[in-house]
Amino acid sequence: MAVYTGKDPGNPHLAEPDDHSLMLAVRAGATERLAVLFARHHMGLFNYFRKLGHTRSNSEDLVQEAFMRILRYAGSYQPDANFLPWLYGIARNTAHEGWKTTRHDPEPFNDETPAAPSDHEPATAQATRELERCLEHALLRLPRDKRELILLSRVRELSIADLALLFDCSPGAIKVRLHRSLEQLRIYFDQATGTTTAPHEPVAPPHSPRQS
Amino acid sequence: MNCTQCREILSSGHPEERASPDTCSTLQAHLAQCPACTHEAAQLEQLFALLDYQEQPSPALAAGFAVRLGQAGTASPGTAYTAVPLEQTTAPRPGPAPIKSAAPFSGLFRMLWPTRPLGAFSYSTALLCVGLLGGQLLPPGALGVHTPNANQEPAATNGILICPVQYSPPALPYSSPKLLS
Repeated sequence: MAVYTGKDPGNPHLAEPDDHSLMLAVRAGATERLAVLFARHHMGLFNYFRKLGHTRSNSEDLVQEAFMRILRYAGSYQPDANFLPWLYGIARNTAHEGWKTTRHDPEPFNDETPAAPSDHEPATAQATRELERCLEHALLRLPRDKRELILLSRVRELSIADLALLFDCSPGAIKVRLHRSLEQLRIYFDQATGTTTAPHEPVAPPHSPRQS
Repeated sequence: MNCTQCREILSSGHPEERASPDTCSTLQAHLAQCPACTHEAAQLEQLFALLDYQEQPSPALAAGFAVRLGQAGTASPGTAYTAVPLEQTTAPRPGPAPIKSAAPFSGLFRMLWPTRPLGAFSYSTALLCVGLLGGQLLPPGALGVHTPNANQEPAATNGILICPVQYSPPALPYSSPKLLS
């Protein structure tokens, strides 16, 4: 059986089987194996929902809901599928329905943001917190699909091919969309921080031959 | 490598784009001699570091999920996940598809409609008043609705006889002294 080879050496579930094997076990009826998947991925999902603009409590609810959906839709998990794109596909749908439930886009700021890591000096910590708020502002100004794409592109294990599958387009198109989304995010972020971008000519997005 | 190529790689946003050793070494060589691109790279790294910052959820999340998982397990042991009909698709499109409304203008109405309850109430009251006023101000027959007169002769339209009817309440079959008194 394959062994989980996550990049986090401190992960207590290092010796556990990989995600795919665990998911197949869940599909076969070993419901308790979902707890291991939860332990591995709840943090990533929580931060995904948070950065999408949900409040802390909403994000926690959405994480639980996403994992309950995994249980509910375990039968649709194919033996040749990749677990992580499947998981984040469910997370995307859960987040979409979360917006429908709350029926409004989030407030740009909320006071629930915890303090930045405490090993910094107070002034540095304050500056970091301010930058986080600027990023939050900038992300919320982006259209939702661009926000999703940027956040999912930061999930280490999701390849461009996985993103293309999630967003139902070609890998070339994903590269172009990601490039443009990042450019837009940078503009908004610079506006929020009050800085200006370097006086360089705009960079053309990467060439995207249409791939299927 | 020139600045344009360098920035193209820097702002590609995905580690895959910088993964090859050749690209990495060329990029480093360019950054070593170009202060503007170095500045750009530093700014992007800061942005990526902020994006990658991981916030800790509360411990209640794991505890709450354990409870829900336990409930799901005991509700239908071993087969809890098959309780809901599954989407049997071969394409790896996970989860239920987003629900699309059948009404063509529902999206527009949803966009225009206020989200707060007080706003929605005021909006609907105003719409009701506009409808009532509009109904009062419109001349009879303006909307093509025929409102017959009591004195009008019966008219046959497409084989259907339209008779103006004068309504009079039916007489009581008996007069109750208690009611009349």
